[in-house]
Amino acid sequence: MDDQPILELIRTGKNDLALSVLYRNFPAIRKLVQTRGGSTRDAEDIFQEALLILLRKAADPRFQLTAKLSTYLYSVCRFLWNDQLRKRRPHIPYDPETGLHPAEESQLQTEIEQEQRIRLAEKVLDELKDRCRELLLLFYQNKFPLKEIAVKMGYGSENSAKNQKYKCLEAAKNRLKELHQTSPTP
Amino acid sequence: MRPELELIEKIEQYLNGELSAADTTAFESQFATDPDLREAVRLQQDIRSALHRASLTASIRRAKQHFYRSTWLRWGGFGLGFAVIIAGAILLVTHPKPIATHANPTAIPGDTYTIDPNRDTVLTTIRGARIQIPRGSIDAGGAPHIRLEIKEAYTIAEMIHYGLTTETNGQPLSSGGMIDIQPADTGSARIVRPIMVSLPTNRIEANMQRYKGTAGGNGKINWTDPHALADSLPRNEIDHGRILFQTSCAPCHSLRSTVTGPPLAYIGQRRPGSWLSDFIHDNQKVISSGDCYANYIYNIYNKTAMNLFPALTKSDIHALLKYIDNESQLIDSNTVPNYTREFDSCREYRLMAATLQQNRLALIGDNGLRTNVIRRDNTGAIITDTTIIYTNPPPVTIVEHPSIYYTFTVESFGWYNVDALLKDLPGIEPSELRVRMTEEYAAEVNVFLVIPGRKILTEGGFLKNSKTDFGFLTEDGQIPLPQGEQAYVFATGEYQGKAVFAISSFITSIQQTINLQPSPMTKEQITAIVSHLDLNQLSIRVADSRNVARIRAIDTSLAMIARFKPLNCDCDCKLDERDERVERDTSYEKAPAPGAQ
Repeated sequence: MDDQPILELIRTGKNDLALSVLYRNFPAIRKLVQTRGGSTRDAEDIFQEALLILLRKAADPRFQLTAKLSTYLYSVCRFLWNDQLRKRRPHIPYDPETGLHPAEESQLQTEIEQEQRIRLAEKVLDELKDRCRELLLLFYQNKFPLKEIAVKMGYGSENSAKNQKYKCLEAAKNRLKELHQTSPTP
Repeated sequence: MRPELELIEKIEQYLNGELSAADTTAFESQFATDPDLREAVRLQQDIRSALHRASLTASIRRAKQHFYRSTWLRWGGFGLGFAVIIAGAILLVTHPKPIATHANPTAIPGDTYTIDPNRDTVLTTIRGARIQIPRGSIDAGGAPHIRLEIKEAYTIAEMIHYGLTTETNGQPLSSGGMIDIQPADTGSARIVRPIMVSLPTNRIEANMQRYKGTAGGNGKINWTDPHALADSLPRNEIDHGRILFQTSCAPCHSLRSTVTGPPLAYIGQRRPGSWLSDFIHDNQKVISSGDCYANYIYNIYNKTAMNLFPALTKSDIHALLKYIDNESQLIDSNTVPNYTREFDSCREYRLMAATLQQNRLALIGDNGLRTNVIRRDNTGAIITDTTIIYTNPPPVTIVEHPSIYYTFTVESFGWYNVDALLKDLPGIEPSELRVRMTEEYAAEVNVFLVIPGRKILTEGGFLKNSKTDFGFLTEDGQIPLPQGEQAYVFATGEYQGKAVFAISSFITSIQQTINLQPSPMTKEQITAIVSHLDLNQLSIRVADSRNVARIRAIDTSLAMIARFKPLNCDCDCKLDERDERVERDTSYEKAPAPGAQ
């Protein structure tokens, strides 16, 4: 499949279809990571991160593809794996060549930091009370209207579901703030 | 709300872009100077991103599963070509003697797992192999923990990658998967009692066997010492399924191609088990229940009757489907027609159409009645109609119609209802008056009798058991009428999106039937006709209905989405429950803990 239709799929929210095509690039990434001291698991993690970055960027209508998607993913993975290696085993010399422009690299660095922040927030969500997490996921991920959530989860009214939503957001924010203070991220 | 929650709401509105331009600017300049507020916004944004990401990671997980499944299928086809001597084998590398010798010619590391050899362990690897290690099976020289390095190869690519070969004494071998288990740290760990290894497989070959790999001098592995697999139950079931398929299905079906009936490969992935079970037992029952898929297939195959198999048991059908599933792995799913796509289109169409129809009905409801009668007294004030209750014979049945595109207004000043005729006035005689028109129009119009000389306006309704004839008082067509006077009957309504109108002038007599022929007309035509009649301060007006523009827009949308309807498929049929269910990832939802808030 051409690259443009894949971007089109991502922009129209058909992520499942786009990803099933994009995942065909995985063997190349696995080889890359495995020949540079990582496991299949590492390759999967790196590839997931690269896909998340691509999905976020591609959803932006201003995103312009400068290379083939497969090349782009490969370069991003190479960059991400270098970054990992540097943290894990500082004594291993890393691959200086990523095939990316310096500008793209520094932008990717920002993306990685953003990803780390989000991952921390994901951890907070996992720690939330079950009902809170369910409420937030129903609202933000599944886009259920509050009215329906109130019925489904047994809140008295749309308003009390809304209030509850804010309380859950507050709890998550407070916990995330705590985490930021104990383990400052870049 | 507490002030903290109000702030959260404000940030939420800001992030949603719901604040006005002025409020946005004010808010942004506020957090430009307030680092705490800036931090609060950023934290809230992170949480929202994380919530959004949950669905993306679920998507990626599905793509990953799909990827691993499809590599399997590729290997299925490839392996068959190389199955020269032995049709299939599960290969297992274990090292019964000292397992410390590294038999693998490549130094690529596998995944490592730490186990306690003094406890029973069931290990599931990331690729899905299950390894049961009973207590004491591995002698680690008394160490409390042992790290195992496990390499799994299920595809040709992986086998090449690990430098594994599929040869037995120089002859090629088809492989269902290989696993290599080694201690990760050099030591003197040995397997002293059998451990049980189950490998994931999508396809079971009849003569798969377990081989043992031994490293040859050239760094290659030779596979020898075949053993029957411990778990042969699934194969018995598949064999049973194969026999059933050959005796019951094969006369009319093949897996790959159309014979009398459709090809059956991948049917287990296209219909739910319960549906297949019902259909195999008694397909006619499923078809007559109105099931979409059943009727679609039935129509495509020219309504060829399929045999009934009421005697097959649940386990028979299970075995049959397992056999079909297993054989399907050898067939490219893209080469087998997949009729389920039609139902995706139907579902999409029905979902959209239902929403539009609902809106359309609400707009029509809001339009009010198609024909409104307004009666005013001589001062111009509106008077309400008196209701006549007639017991013998019963009154005519007046049908009210909702206004879709047009609204008619019949307005009179100082006129009377039919009750004026019931008084004993001179010249009024018991009469019979019928108005007749074709059934299609009769169902869509309101009919009125007008006698201008007496200021009589009365609405008609269906006569007893008739869909074409109207009367104005009782259901047998009787009505007292002044004789020999100028009168009119007219019909107002809409038909197939157009306003329809008809009026007929006559002189009253004891018994008569007036034929009306309503026809589509523009508003201007109707106004022109009415203005030529002397109706003595009675007006008949027609206008577009209140919501006509929006209803016409919905009509256009409905016509447009009709292209989602697949050809040959009546989307009004019954989709089964699985088809109607909206697929949703539930892996993030846990059951609420008791006492959770």
